[in-house]
Amino acid sequence: MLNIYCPKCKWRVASSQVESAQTFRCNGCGSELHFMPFPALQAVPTTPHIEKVVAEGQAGCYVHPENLALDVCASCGRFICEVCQIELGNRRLCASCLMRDQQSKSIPELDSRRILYDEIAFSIALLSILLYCFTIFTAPVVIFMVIRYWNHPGGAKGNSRIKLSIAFAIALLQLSVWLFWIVGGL
Amino acid sequence: MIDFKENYDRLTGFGENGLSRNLATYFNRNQVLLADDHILDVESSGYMETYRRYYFKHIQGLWVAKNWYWHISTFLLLVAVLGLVAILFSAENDVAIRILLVCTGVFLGIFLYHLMLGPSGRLYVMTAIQTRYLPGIKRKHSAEKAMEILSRRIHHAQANVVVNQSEEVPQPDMGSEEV
Repeated sequence: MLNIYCPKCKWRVASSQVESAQTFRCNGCGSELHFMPFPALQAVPTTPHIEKVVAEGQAGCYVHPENLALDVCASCGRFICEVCQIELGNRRLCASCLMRDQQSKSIPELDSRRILYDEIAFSIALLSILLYCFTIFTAPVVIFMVIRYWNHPGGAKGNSRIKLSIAFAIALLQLSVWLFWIVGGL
Repeated sequence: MIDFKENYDRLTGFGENGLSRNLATYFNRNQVLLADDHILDVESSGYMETYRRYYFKHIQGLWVAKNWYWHISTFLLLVAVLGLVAILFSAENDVAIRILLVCTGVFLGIFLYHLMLGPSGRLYVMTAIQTRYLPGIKRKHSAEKAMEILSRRIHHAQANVVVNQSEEVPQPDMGSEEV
């Protein structure tokens, strides 16, 4: 018996409801629902099948030498057993490589957060105009950010270099106004 | 790091602000992107983006749920339009009539656009550990369209899954759409 629950109120949905119609109402919250199941819902749970090294010449796992190696780590090339292998996309990695690559942010699949430096630089450059006296501090910061994060990939919206370029131009203009003011004052 | 332009396509929907969740995330925008083997739910606060991936091989089911608050927003917009029309007919000053005409036109436009988009709804992704909705999809029509696109890819990704035959298999009656 499969356990299917309403995604809104967590009320248990009877299998007959799912079978009977394309859309149905939840008995708990009355929401109109449409459910589409996939084979993974009824998949047979797999337990790790560990084979032991029995004969000489068989490759053992790097971490568990007594276990027969099934694969090699896609990053370091060490032998890994069923217990050690971590599936990531189409690759299989060992735990130490996964941890190292996660820290160095070299695995795109583990990229879960990104700071949008283009938006920050653009906002600082634009908002500082409202309080112009602060631009003497903010303009160098913006120029530093543009140079530092020029090659940093932008967000899902698209190219970040357009905003960085505009921020750079505004900051340069602000600095040149300050320069004229200081030179003119002298 | 991921290059979004090369690896992802936009799935559907327009994204939403966080009003339906809480005020702290009011300015957050969501987007749903589609890769070869997963869905990427992008939540952007303007200065930071957070990503959530749902791999096709792990998805157990998709839900489309219709939201009730579409009726309320439709009713409120209708009241606003009718109210403005009533005031417009009772106005006598030329300037006031012009201003009211513009306001009525704007509200009528919003109301018709709201009707055109159809009822609000959510697309929930069910995996073995959680059922979450994709905030980037907020209309029932977009949710159903996304479900159709995703179901083909998910079935393809799960073609080799060994199914437990002893379990009851609740297959929805697809009616005339079934091929």
